Amino acid sequence: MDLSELDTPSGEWLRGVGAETDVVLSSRVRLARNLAGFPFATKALEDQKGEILSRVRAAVDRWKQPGRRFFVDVSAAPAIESRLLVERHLVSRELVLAKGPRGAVFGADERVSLMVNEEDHLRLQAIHSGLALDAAFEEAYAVDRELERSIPFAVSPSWGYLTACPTNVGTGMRASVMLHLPALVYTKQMEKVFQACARTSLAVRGFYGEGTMAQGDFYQISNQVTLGVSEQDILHTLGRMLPTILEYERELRRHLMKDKSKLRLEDKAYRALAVLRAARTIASEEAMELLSAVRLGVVLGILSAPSLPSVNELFVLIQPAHVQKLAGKELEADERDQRRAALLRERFG
Amino acid sequence: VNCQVCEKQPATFHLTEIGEGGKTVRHLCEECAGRLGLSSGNPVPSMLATLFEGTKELAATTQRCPECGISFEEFRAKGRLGCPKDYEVFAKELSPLLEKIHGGSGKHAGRVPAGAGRDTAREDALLRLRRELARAVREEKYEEAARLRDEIRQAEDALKGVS
Repeated sequence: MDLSELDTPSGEWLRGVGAETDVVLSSRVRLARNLAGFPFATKALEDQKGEILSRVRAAVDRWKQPGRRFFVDVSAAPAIESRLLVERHLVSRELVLAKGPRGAVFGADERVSLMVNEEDHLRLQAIHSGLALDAAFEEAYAVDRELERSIPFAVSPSWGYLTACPTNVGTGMRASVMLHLPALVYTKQMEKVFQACARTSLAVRGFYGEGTMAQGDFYQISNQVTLGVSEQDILHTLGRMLPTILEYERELRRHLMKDKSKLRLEDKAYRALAVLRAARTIASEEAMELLSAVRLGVVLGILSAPSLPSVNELFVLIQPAHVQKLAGKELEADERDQRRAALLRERFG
Repeated sequence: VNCQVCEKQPATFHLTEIGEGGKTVRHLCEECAGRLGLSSGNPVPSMLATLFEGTKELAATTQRCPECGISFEEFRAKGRLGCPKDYEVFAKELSPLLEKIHGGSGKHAGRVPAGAGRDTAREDALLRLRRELARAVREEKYEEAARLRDEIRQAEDALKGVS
């Protein structure tokens, strides 16, 4: 895959457009599906996985929707390419680490992507910029309906869509929002968000999903319950909880913009930008942390530049595989840190 | 930073765990994280493991799925089912687990595929035919394999006609 063939250097969901973008980076809906009459991916033989892959590809090829589509054969792709897709949130680590025939399909704007033979035969997702759960849901379901015309999915009247793991059975749907919560982090109030989410059966995860750490003060909040609820119920549950979290974060931001703490916050944003402009070597964790402070500075009007989209996309572009792709070769950690610093100096210079 | 486990590879995987005792950060390389079940692939089984606690009696069944051959014990260990049929075969064992995960009625309330007239018998037959095909190929019984492929194709066409 050649990155230059994509619409933009980063996915459309990083554009910083849409509702509530001061806190909400993106909204995502993903659906888990399995083909009827096949064992799940864990038990499927190589041949069967190959057949599943070619069937999904054939179904995708029949789509009438305009726009370019990319297909990546993950079993044959170089490691760096697969990691690049993970960093762009197009595929999961699990797909990269899986065995046998497997792949990914996505559009040039990277809004819709499909993983084949991950934990389930099919994982399909739509990601939109800002708070746009309904739009992401509609888009994911349009693709789902398109696929089900030619692919019979494993469904049961009692358990709905049947999935390899019982945590996804039923709707097979996971709706999530990626939130930027620096004020909650700075004031050490995240624990309250964790508790509130746990009470309403919502899960809180890091920037790269399950089992990853919260980088750049980003937290992904998603539904845990998939059985016994409708798709609309899931969207409502998230929708009900969100205003509370957003308001809490904004209230703390307002508080931080008052009196003595205002100077400290301004200092933090300006220093972060200064380091990003001047550093000669920088690890991704530090860069994420500083970019987070810059992002907050931008949305609060402390910093007049850079623009929100350019900060957003850097959260992905500074990741290790992206830095190496840009350099055109594999790099050791210190070399990566130098290249990352150079990229940031160029962007903010 | 080098991986805290192997102390050789650079740590690319940083896990912040938030538990009752506060926050701890672990730095691991991709390989060790994968091996310890910490990379993104595996937290679900560990989550399932906690859900399994106090449901020891569930392992009592020694039954295996006639289609994929998985036992409930194997599912407990891996956290993944083997085929769609398992939901029926292990309905009794799965039911308390589903209730723990999802709460509520445990009955599907979401959408179903358009015109879903599900032909369970044919889907089961397909699972069986595919299993037999794999065996025939393994045993180099090519005539039988060819016959099974035809049968699979017919069953597939019939299944598509239904849905």
